[in-house]
Amino acid sequence: MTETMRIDGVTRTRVPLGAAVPSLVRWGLSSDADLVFRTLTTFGSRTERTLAVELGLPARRTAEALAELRECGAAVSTTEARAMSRIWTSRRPAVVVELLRSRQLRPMDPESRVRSHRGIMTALRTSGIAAALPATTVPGLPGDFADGMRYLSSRAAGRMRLAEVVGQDIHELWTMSPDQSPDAESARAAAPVDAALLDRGVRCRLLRPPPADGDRLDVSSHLVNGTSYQCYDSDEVPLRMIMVDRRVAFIPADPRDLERGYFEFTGPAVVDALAGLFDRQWSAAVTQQQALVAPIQLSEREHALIALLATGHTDRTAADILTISPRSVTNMLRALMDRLGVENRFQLGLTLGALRVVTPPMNPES
Amino acid sequence: MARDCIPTMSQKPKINLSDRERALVALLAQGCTDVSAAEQLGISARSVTNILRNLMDRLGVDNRFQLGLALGFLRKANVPGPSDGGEG
Repeated sequence: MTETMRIDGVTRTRVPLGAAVPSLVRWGLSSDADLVFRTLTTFGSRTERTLAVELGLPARRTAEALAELRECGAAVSTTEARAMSRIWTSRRPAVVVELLRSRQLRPMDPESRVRSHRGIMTALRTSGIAAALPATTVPGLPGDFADGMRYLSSRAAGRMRLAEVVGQDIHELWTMSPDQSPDAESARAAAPVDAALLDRGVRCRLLRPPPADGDRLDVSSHLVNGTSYQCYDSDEVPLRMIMVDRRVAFIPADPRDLERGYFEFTGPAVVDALAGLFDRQWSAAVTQQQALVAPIQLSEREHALIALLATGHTDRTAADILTISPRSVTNMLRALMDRLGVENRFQLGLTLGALRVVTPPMNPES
Repeated sequence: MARDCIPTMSQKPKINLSDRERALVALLAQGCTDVSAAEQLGISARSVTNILRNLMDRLGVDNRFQLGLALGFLRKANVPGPSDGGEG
């Protein structure tokens, strides 16, 4: 106790009851570790044994959770020989979140973006698909410089031409943007969605890097996906590209300087190659996202059950619909609670809600 | 090119929790039973039931599971966030 109190950053006072403790699951920790951290923060320092007893966690899971917390600096312990007697203390939640955030911070290297862009352009040129593409410079004059290739010599010219194309009767607008937002909030704000496009029924796809702070529980894209606007995070967005109806593609002439304008490609071979690139990146991002959004994999039956309970069904009526016994319902929920490390229905709901496993039917006050 | 706006996701339902509701929800989120939560808050178990009943009515849900689901979804418990949790 006295030992731990001297360590810098360790909590001295208990957080007042009711204060929100941040979820560590969103930073990649297990739900056991999260639960233990929450307990230490709310109720103060405890021995490993006390934690195990209070939380009803098996000793091994408690030990693993504490090891996880120690490893990431979220908790420290005294050094008694017997592990079960060590007293554990959590760091202040704000400090811990900052630690985890910086650990996960993955700022992208701007040079790698330039290299990746040039790599694709070089491949297009040397493969003969776009042999007329200049190697490293931009064309001297604006306008068509080869069949199906046009140089729009400034950013403004690129924008105007894009607006012209988008203003036509189009169906799909795909965007790949290598710009990385510092955090999830600004990523949301920066998503280039035009309400007018959606009103016209244009299906928009956006691929962009995840926000630098790597917040896994931010599922803003999850909320918009499924409508005509879909957005996915991708760790490797190879270049900036806007594509309309697999027919026209716009790519910056110089990845270092957008003011130097855009190439407009309309040749079928080039556009096909670029659309293929987009397709591959897109399916990779979808797969990646699915793995992240659902750290808990529910079976089809579990998902069906949860969806029924979410709409207000009782165990019995849900069991009837699923043609299983109420006892099976209880068992499925018990198994699910064990996997999530929670004790009761309220906690189960809380966890599934935070993970966006199902949408609750809400009718809240405004 | 396009303007910066997201049309579809701004209408997130809002609910404000009182301090007492927040404290209770935090205790239940820890795994407290109604009785032990009531003891810690210095209120009766019946008050706990009433507070939760009232909260469920406001959210338009019928049971504890749905209540948890709704609060978790709205990030009213366990989840921090200057953006989501600070209004009450």
